[in-house]
Amino acid sequence: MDLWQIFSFSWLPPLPTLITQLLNGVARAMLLFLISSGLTLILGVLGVVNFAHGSLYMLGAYACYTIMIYLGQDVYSFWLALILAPIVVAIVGALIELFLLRRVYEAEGIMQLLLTYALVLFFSDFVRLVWGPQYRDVNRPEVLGGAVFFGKVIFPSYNLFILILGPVTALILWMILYKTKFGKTARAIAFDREMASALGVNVPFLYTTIFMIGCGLAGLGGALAAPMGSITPTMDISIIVESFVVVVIGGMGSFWGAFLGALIVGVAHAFGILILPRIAMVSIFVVMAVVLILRPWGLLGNPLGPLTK
Amino acid sequence: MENTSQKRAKMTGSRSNWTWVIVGIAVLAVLPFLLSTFYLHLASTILIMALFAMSFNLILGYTGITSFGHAAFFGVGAYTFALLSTKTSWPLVLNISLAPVTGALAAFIVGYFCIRLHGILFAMLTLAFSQIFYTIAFQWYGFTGGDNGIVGLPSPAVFASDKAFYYFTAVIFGAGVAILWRLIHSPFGYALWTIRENSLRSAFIGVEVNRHRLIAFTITGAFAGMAGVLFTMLDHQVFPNYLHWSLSTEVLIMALLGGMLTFTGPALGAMMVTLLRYWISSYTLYWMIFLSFILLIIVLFLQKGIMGTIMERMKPPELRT
Repeated sequence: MDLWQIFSFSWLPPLPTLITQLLNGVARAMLLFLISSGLTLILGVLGVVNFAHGSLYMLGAYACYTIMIYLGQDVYSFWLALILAPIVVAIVGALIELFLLRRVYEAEGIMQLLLTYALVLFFSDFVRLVWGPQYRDVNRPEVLGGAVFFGKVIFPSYNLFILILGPVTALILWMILYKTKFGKTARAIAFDREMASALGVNVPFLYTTIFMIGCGLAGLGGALAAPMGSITPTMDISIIVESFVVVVIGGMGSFWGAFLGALIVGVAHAFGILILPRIAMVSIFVVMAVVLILRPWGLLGNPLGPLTK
Repeated sequence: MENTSQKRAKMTGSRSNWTWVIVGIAVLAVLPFLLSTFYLHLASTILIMALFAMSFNLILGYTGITSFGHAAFFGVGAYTFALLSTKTSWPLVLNISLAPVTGALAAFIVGYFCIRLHGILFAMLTLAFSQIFYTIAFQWYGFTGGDNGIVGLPSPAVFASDKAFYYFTAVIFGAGVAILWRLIHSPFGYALWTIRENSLRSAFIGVEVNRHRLIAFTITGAFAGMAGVLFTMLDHQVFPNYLHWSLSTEVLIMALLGGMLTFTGPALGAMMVTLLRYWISSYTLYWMIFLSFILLIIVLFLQKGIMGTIMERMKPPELRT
């Protein structure tokens, strides 16, 4: 390509394609946000990085698949699966918290990290054992099967649905955390666990609940992602890597940071696909490298660390 | 007044340590005469993994940095050697010795971006970066051969026999262990130890924490690259799997299982994991589930690792923690 072409931007795809790609990126960002917000929530309150979050997301997708198979080709089956899958994952989360995580809160930080990492290994083979190594597909619900046209811009209506659902979930979560008594107690624990406990807060109960909510969000993300692409036994690592990048860019422990980070990563990935189709992930890392040099604590993070206010 | 050699003897260990070293060398030397070709291959694999795990422990146990992406540097070393020996006609010695260099370079680049982040964030980022390396090796068909890897590497005449290659591996392993031992018992090593114990305090006494961490991370990258090149030479092939996060996990588990607060523990862990892997994968494809159980047992019941627990038992009761 010569210089003229570069300046006229004729090497770029036409504008409607770019807008469609932008919207797809934002839709993907909403999924990433669901997962990263759960990660951030658990980190903020429990002080544990849940490495297994991607695995729970994958479990949510597989649960959605199995529930839909079980319910058969019904109009409501997807919507029912969308409600049930997160519940299943949340219950798995509760079991993890009650029987495993609870035993290592007092140990060195690395032990909690390793425990959730062991779960990554476990689920990675568990889904292969139960659902086999082949790819699985879930059909989009009929209502959202088509596409919406805005002039020349074509946009899948399912992505539009996610585009709306993401911010709604974010708002609900924010309301719960900042406007309810439950949220206040959770933030009190995040601030000072011992003091909250001394003031009569049932800390173990809240830990389990918060962990369940976080896992449920991952499960919801997985169930929502199920009709968008294939369900594979390797989706856990790709999503956890991306949501780590989201958390690093947005700032660890910051709720709106997760939202902003997800938007940046989603859009960067969408445009990365246009430029370097095979290694689109590199585009995300370029963004992250820049953030790491300029603001190592993340765009909306706290320079002193995630747990200081 | 002590002379230099006495000082050095004091620094690098007591006489009983030397006994163990001599026993170790003797065992490694006679092994090829006792083992069949198959088991000699396994022994070489164990030595390579032991070198990988012991060097990895320089950051895990001695500096307190957790990395979930060390396979990246192992793989970079492996690919460096494989690409050089297929695409150039450079001498073997150069091809081998460039692998640790590229391994260190890759570790330096990753470390440069991540090192100012601590603990959990650092661990997350190493996993993320290693995934990038893996993706490149997996997708770049024109250069790395993609998921087909590079197979059938020419076998240099020097290493025509399995015994010759085993001895080469053993010598590199011995040299690597000696370097690590000196490193850990040098002022630099003690500085790393203070960072592990309390990075804030060690910054107060004038240790440049991030610089030390970056140097340690880069050194382990070089060792990982060396282990990678040995592993490639052993099997005459390289695959993107050499950079996969599951290998990063294995090396981590080796160090933890053996005991990350001991010098030799990771080697024991490497031996156990490698043998277990060989034994279990002849029965089932689901090796990861077993790894997860090992890791869970370590985390819940055996936090000091096997060697660490043994050392703890040998101490007088009043010194136990």
